[in-house]
Amino acid sequence: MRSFLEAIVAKQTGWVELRYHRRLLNDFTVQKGRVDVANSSVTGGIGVRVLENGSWGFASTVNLSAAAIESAIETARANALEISKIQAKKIPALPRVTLGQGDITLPGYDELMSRPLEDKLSAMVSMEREAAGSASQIHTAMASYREIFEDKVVVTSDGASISQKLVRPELRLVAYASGDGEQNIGHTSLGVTGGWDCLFNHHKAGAIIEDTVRSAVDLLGAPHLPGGKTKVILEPSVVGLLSHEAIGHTVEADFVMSGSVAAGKIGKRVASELVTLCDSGAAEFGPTPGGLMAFDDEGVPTENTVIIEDGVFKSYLHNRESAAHFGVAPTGNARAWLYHDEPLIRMRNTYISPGTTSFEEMVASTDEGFLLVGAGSGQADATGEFMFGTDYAVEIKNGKLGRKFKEATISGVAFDVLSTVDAVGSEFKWDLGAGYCGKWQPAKVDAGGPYVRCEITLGGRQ
Amino acid sequence: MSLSQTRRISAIDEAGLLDRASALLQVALEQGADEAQVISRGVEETKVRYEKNDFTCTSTNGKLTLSLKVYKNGKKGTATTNELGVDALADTARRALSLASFSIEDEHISLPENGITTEVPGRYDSSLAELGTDDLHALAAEFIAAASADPRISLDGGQVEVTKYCEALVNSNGMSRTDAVTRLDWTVMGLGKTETETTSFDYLSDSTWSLAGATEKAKETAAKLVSNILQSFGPRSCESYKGHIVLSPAVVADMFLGPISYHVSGSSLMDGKSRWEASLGELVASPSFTLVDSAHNVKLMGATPYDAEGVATKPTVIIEDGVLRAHLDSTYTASRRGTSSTGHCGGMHTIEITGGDSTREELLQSVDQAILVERFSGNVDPLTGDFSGIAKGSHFYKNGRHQHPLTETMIAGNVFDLLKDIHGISKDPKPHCGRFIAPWILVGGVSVTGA
Repeated sequence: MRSFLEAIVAKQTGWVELRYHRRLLNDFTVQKGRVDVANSSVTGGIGVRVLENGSWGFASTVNLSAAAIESAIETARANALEISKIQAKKIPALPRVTLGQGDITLPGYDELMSRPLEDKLSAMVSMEREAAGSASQIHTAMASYREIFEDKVVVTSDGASISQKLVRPELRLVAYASGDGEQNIGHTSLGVTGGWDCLFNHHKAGAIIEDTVRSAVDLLGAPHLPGGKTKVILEPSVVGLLSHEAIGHTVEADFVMSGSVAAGKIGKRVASELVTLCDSGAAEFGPTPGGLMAFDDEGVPTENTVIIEDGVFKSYLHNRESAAHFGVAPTGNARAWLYHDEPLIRMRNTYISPGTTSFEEMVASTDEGFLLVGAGSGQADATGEFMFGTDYAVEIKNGKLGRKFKEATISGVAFDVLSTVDAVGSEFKWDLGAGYCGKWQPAKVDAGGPYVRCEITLGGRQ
Repeated sequence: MSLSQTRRISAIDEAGLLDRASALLQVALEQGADEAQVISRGVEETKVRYEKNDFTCTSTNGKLTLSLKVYKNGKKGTATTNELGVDALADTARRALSLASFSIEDEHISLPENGITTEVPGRYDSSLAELGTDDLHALAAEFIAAASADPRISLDGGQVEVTKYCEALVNSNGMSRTDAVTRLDWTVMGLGKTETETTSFDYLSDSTWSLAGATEKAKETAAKLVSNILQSFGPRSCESYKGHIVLSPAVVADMFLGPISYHVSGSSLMDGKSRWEASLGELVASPSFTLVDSAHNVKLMGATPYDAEGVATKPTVIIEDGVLRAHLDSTYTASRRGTSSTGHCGGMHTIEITGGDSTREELLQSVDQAILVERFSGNVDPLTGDFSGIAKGSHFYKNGRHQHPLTETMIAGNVFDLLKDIHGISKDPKPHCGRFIAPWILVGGVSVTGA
């Protein structure tokens, strides 16, 4: 496919990018002893992007013939010329950068492809059965497995020619508990870039049934969290969500150019000096995060981008266009969900670097507050105001963990919250679960960090 | 510029899709499926994207998907493909049957019989289907100009998209359906910015089936966004309290529809997850609350003649004067529960909440203090009904008088408690974002947490 696309690009004038993307997605869902989902889905095609007359044009086709691809290139050119009539600021020529060459297959792809689907479904049947029978309060359990095989080829007229294969398996377990007229859900999800063993070596996999069931049962009859600003310890999954939602989105360069709160912050202190926050395409501090990739969808090698170093703002996240605008090198953050999506600036694996305080020391030195556990969904604002849910909270009093509370939604202003960080843990985990990010199109991402202590607003009951 | 030059990358029409669907059905049956269903979908779309306060890209896509469901020996498997090669149909059937071979037998799986559907006209406009890229750009330019009419507005993103969507559905019980719609969708996200202040962002979207009046409708969306943003300058927090809030139609939908849909759905009912399993005929909400799935109301973009497995849709009263009137089923959940399909495979279609007898201002004047919540950024647990999140674009009122916009204000409570604590409903329900029709609703018992 790579040489086929190279031959087509070689015949073109002007800047052209061809991106072949074929996705094989297999998924199973088992619930109450029945198979609700047993599905295999193939989606493939070619996305074409051109830069013509200072404007982007895009088109895609499911037809992989040379004639169809050349027709799509012409459509993309026509789109670019048409939009250039209403586009105020023309895009300058893209800067010359080192672009990817060659073929790469990330670990796990071949192993997971060769493992029989029957074995994968069988594992879910067993997991669901065991979870459903592990406590009298559990009336329903649901186990889901999904694997996404990605085959991509990116060829550009200025030198990128890269093929990349990777696989991202995910596991979800949900338990429904009831008692005294109340129902509650416990859930655990995990996702990696790698094979079957890699998924089941995830730090949450070993106790997934016990943790999920206990979460569902323990919160039956648990009190609602009181609202208000308070000291909290965030577990690694919540630290990851904070890094992603509250900081990561505001530092995407396209968002910065639209006026986000991060504009003009380069070189300024924005957080406690204990905070170093990064976004990486690689596996920093822990293995096989869910957003792992060697090259982005513009063919740019990924890197570890330091966004905040010791509390000082260092960098935005870039694609080739925004890097040219800011006069810096691209950071490898251009990503597209499917062949018919244009590459946008997206995060990969976003995290806070580990510090030196143990979790036990952090709890022991907290007079009053809450430990927040389990990342839910969230949103962030241009002002840096963010909101996201967590699974539950554990009360901390006089340095000891106590009762569990449910319904823990938290809020704050990104850099304000990071300025209140007074302890950063030493134990690092990737822990966004089977998480996806949404920004016009989905993206598979991961996030994590160590335990972090800070002040935050809890949206509980009055 | 003609359509053939700009958008028609792959030929998509109902007859072609029906041929493809029938061909795959035949292959699946020849490979040994006892029963099979195929849905083939074709999409032609062109979208114009706006970012960083400028137009950034126009893209054109042609998409084609074949989705196969097979039953073999009481076991189910599904597979989809968008590949066009000669082996794609056989490979898709092989994958679905392979999955079915090691799935678990389920005596309740079956496909619906063919039945009569009601036409839902007014969803296809040939002038929209043939809209040229230059005309789309002109419409987008007017929309964006209206959304950036004030120098304090900064637009983070926007998109205008024209789509022609065709579908064919066939099954081995002789069912054969085709449908085609056109739609124009627009969305815009922006914030207010001065030298001293940046407001929270707001976003709005809307849709239409036809080109007539589309520009004016899009400009109304833009004007609403501008108004929302300009009113949000100078926000302050308020004291924490537990009491009344007024929900906008958008918030009514975001908070209420998930939990209601969850507890009336056949899948929740058959698994013992629904709190309303034995509640038909009982009061589950305030007597002022009525919710209907009108199914065919073309003011909303969910209007459809049949559901996701081809069963005819029809208007369904779900909650009437606070009383639960219906549970919603697919063929499968109906078989499990010993009932009949209500045409709700895939969920509700077009949702309308009936209006009351007050104006929005009268709702605000009827209580000592309230916050008016324009947008909810938070989480709602459909199982328990617990919700918690930020009241975005919101305003604080005392004795019916506007005090100030709000910032960093969180609200929390329980949807099922709110449904029974409705103090007033506005009399002017309107379509919102093409998704639902809802009024403003005054509720009590909400925890409001200020900064």
